[in-house]
Amino acid sequence: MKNIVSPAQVKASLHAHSIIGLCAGGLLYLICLTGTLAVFADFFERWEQPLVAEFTDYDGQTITTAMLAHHQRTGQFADSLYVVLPGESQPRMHVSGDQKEWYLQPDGSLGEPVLEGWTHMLRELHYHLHLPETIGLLVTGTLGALLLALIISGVIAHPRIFKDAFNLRLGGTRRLEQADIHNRLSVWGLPFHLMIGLTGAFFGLIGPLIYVGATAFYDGDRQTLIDDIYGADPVLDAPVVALDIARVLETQRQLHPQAQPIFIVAHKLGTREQFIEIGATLPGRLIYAEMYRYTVDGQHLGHQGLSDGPLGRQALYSAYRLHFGYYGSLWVRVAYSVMGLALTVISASGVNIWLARRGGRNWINDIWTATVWGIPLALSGAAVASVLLNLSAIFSFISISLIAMVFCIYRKNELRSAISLQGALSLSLLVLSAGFFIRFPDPVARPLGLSMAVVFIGLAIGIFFIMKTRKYKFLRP
Amino acid sequence: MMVPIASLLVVAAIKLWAHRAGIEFAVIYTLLTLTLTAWFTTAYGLEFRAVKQTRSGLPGRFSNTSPAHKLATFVVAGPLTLVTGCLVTTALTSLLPMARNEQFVVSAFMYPLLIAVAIYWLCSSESLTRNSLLLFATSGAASAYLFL
Repeated sequence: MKNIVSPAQVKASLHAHSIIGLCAGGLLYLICLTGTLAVFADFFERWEQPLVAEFTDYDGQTITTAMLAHHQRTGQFADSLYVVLPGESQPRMHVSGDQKEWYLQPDGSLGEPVLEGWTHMLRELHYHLHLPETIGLLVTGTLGALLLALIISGVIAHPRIFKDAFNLRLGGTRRLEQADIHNRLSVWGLPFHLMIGLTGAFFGLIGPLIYVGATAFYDGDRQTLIDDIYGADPVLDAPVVALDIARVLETQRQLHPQAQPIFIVAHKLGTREQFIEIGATLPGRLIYAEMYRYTVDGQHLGHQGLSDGPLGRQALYSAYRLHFGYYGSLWVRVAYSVMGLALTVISASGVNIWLARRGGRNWINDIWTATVWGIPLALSGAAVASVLLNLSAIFSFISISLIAMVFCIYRKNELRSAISLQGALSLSLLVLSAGFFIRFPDPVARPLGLSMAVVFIGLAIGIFFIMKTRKYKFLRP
Repeated sequence: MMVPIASLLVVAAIKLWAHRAGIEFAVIYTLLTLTLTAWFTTAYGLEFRAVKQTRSGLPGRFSNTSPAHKLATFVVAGPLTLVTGCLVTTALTSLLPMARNEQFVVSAFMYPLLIAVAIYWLCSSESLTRNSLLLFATSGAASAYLFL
């Protein structure tokens, strides 16, 4: 690297790395932290509504009952009516259409409505920061591109990055300590961070590309462009016949025994264009799902070609699972959460290095402390408010974040502020663990409550340990 | 000696995972394992050093630039780069000898990379005016190619 890049270029790259990092630092930290938690979103959803019936067996009758029950409750067939099937991480079914969603009982009748609670707030925060969707996606997509820019500038700015790849030295000045943590985590996580940045940017920035591409080559018809990429829906014109999901499932099992159905969609039910789609995963494939199409009485119409169509279509359809780690076993999610946490630490330590290098202190130190420790506290506090007290998750998140910010600015001591926020975070995690059993005393909720309590208490202990270490350093003469 | 052995083991791991879970999963599992192993190795060799005072202070380019320059850098490296990147990506990929839908897929992954490189270039260079003009000219040329 020393021979390839001149010292002037290294200096310029370091400057670019600092500028980009400072501009993106706070939001990147928020996106990384929420992304790390979103890896376990399925589990959080179950924990938020622990009384929902859990089962893995279903048949055609269950699905038919669910679709008819949704129709009965809403008064009309949704244009696309989804029945999400039970899976390993979420052994429960739900039916959804026209933004109305219910969990299902084992017989297919409607159970509790699906809440837009804390997990929903977490996902929306990660996807588009709760901004209007188009703008929010553009911002998060740009953050993905900025992560790529940080990787490029980071590699060029650190000629010794591979030479020092295994050197971790703690206990020195804060700047050197943070730099070592930042560099060691980033150099080895580079392939994962590249993948996360690229797929994240893809989700957010696909909108403008579609717009420009459609205007330039498809006379402004965006749907034709999308159909050209992903494959179009079949257009049927047949007499309306009765729904026979059992036959659809049977045909699917015979024709595609390896495919594992994850959801079923009924399109335009009750019209001459009605048809059924089964979304199914395939073993060893990262694609989100292959879509198998049937008439409502079970005749096979073909499939969309997401698993065996053009290579580009397969690549685009693999981005979601690849970004979120929704594949393989639970260990993949654990590995993703470790990687995500590392990226969160890298975001935080990057700004820490800049602050330490700058020297002195002002309100930026306080705001940064409020960001790093106030956001986790706000997420945990929002979970307490939403799950235990039925309050709005997003309102609680914003309120607690603002309180943390005011607290840090008022206190004017980032170390003391951090210790206080860490203490509050530990406490809120313990309250969350214990409060769950008061909120849901039903024995059915106990296994979910216990497993999450173990995780939360583990986290609380970890944060308490960090707090004690910092306190010791703070009191050290 | 250890490096060739480790490399062979990695190849063997890919082969085994590919056999068991398919090549797509095998590649990801290998990357995840390599990263985690490297972090564990780094943590195992952790050293503690004595506190030595380092001189604080940021390079001149941080403190010498005016707020107006900072704002201009943000606008150029932000919205202008996004627009230019989008137009240039679409124009460039349309020249590739492949079907229109495949061109679009290439552009979907090329766009973020192009923006990243452009932002890096803008932020590492000192001549913002020249770079802004270059971006304007490039987006103008790409627009002309696409829409005229």
